Amino acid sequence: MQCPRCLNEDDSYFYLGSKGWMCRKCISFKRVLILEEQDKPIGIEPKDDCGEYVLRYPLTSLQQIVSDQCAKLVLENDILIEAICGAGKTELVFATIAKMLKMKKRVCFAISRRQVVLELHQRLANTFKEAKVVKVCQGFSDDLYGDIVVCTTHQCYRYYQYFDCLILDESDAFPYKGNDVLAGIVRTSCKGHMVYLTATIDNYLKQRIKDKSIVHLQLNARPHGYDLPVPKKIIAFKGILLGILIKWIYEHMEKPLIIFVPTIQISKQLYYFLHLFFKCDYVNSKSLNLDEKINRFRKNEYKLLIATTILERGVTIENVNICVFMADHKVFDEASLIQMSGRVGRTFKYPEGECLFLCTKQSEQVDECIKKSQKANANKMFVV
Amino acid sequence: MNVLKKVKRPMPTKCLWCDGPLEDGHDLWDIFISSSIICGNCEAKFKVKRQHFKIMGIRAESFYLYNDFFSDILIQYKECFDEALYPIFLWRYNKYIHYRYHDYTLVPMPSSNHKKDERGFNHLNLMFASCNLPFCDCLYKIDDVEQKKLSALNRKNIHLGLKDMEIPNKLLLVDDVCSTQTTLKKAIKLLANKHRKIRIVVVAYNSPKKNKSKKT
Repeated sequence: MQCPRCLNEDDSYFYLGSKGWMCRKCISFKRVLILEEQDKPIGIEPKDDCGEYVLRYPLTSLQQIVSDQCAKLVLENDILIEAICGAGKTELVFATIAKMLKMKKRVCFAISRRQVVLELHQRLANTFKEAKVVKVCQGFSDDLYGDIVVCTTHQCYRYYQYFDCLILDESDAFPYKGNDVLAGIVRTSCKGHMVYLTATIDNYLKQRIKDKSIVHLQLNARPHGYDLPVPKKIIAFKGILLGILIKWIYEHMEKPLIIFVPTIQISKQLYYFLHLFFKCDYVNSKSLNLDEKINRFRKNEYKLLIATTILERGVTIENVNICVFMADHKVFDEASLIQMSGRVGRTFKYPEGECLFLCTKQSEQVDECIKKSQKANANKMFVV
Repeated sequence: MNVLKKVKRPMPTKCLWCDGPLEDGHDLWDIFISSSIICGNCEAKFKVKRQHFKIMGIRAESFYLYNDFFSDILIQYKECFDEALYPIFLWRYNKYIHYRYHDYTLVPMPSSNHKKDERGFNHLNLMFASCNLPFCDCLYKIDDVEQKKLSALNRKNIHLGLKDMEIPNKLLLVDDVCSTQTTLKKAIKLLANKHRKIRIVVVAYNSPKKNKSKKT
C-alpha cells in the first residue's frame, strides 16, 4: 500500500478508519483515503502570452549556459541546479518558467520558508508582468490559482497532480530538509518534472546524481565575477575566542557585522556582554520585532547584529562581514555554515567581504565548508 | 438508545501522537503497569487537572486543562479526521467513568451534520466508547453551523433540538472541551425535568479567564 499524497509505504502508518484505509504519516494535512481516487484541483487555464519577462540585469555567460540547459532539458528530466550562495539561482530558472508559460503549462515555485515566499512573489510579479503570480502561504490562501504559484512546501498538499513544472528552492533548508512527508507532498503535487535549486545537496540528491536519474548543473560563480569568500578558521578556548571576537569587531567596525551564534541563549548572553562595548542588537526566532530589528540594521542604525541561524538564508545585507561564533557547535551543519558564509559579498557594489569561523575545537563540518568554498572558486561551472 | 460496540484494535506499538517509541519518557513503573498508548514525553505535555464545578446547578467534572498541546491533538482528531487518536483522550479515565457513572446513559453534545458526514465518525461517541456505557444521541443542532466558526457571543444563538425518542432518567452529558458552556447550558435546558438526574463530564476545561487574557 502507498499513500497517494506523501508516498509513504511504511505499513505502521496505515490505519483502517470508518471510511477506509488512511495514512497517518501525513494526517496533519487532513485525512487521505488510500484506496479512493484523489480529487485533482481544477484550477485555471494558463493565460496566452504571459511568458515574457524582464531581467533587472543581463545574465553572465556562465549563468546563460546553465539557464539555457535547464530550459532545454526540463521537459524530459528532473534537474538539479547546484549553485553557490549569491549565484543568482532564481534568475537561472526564469527562462524555464517562461518556456513553460508559453507552452501553457502550470508552474510552481515552492520554498520552505514563508518570508522567502513573500519576497519571491514580489520579485516574480515584477519580472513576469503579464502573468498572474499568486502567493500561497500562511495568511495568504484565498487565491490559490495563477499562472505561477509561489508557495511554501507545506501548501503543496492543495495541488495534487496539478503542476507541470515545480521549482523547489532551498531543498536543504528547514523544515523541508529530511522531512519525508513534505518531500512526498511536493513530489505528488507535480505531474511533470522538478527543478531543484540548492547550494548544498543532500543524500537524496546525491543518490539521484549517482543513479543518473537527474541532470546536474553546477554554477560556482557569482554574477559579479568575484570569488566566493573563503572563511578563515580560528580555534581557541572560549574566553580567548571572546577576546579575538572583540578585536575582530574593532577592526571591522566601519562595515555592518553579523555574528552568528548557535543558540538563542548564547545570542542573549553575547548581546549582554557586547553591548557594554558596542552599539548592537540581537535577533532569534523568539524576537517579536524581527523585521523591525533587521530594517534598523539595514539602515545602519547600529553596525553589529547578533543572530541565530534564523538569518542564515534569504537575507541580503550590503557590504556585510560575517563571524560565526562557536562554529563547531552541533547546531551548525555544513549547509548552514555555507549559507552563513554566503551572506558576504552578494551585491555588485560590494562584491567582497570577510567571513570568520571561531571554533573551540576541530570540526569536520567547518573544514568541509572551507574546502567546498575553495573548490567552488577553482571550478566555476560543471554540467552533467 | 444504543450501546456503541467497544472498538477492538491492535495495541499500538509506537506513540500515537509523536510516533516515537512508547518507552520514551516513561519510568519503570509506567512500562510495567500502565497500558499507555502515548510515550511519557507526550503524556507529560497533557496538563492533568481534575476540576469539579457546576453548570446551572448541575455537577460537572473535567480531567485536563485545555492547553496548546491538547488543542493540537483535538484539532488533528476533529478537523484532520485522525480517527486513530480516539483513545488518547480518556485512556486514564475510562474505567473511572465506567464505575462512577455505571447506571448513567451518555448524551454526547451534537456536531453539525455536515461535519459528521465528512468525518465518517462521531468524535464524542468514539472518544467515550471505551467507557462501556450506553449512548443516547437525543440532541441535534438546528442551525447546523460549525461552532468553531462562531464567536463567543454568536455561540449563544446556537439552537439545539431534542429528538422524539425515549430518554432515560439518568443522563451523563459529555463534551470534549468546556469553554463558554453555551452548548451544555442549552442541553440542560432541554433535558432537565423533575425526575431526571443529570451529571456532566468534559474532557478538558478551558478557563474563561485564560480566554479573556488571550483575547486582550
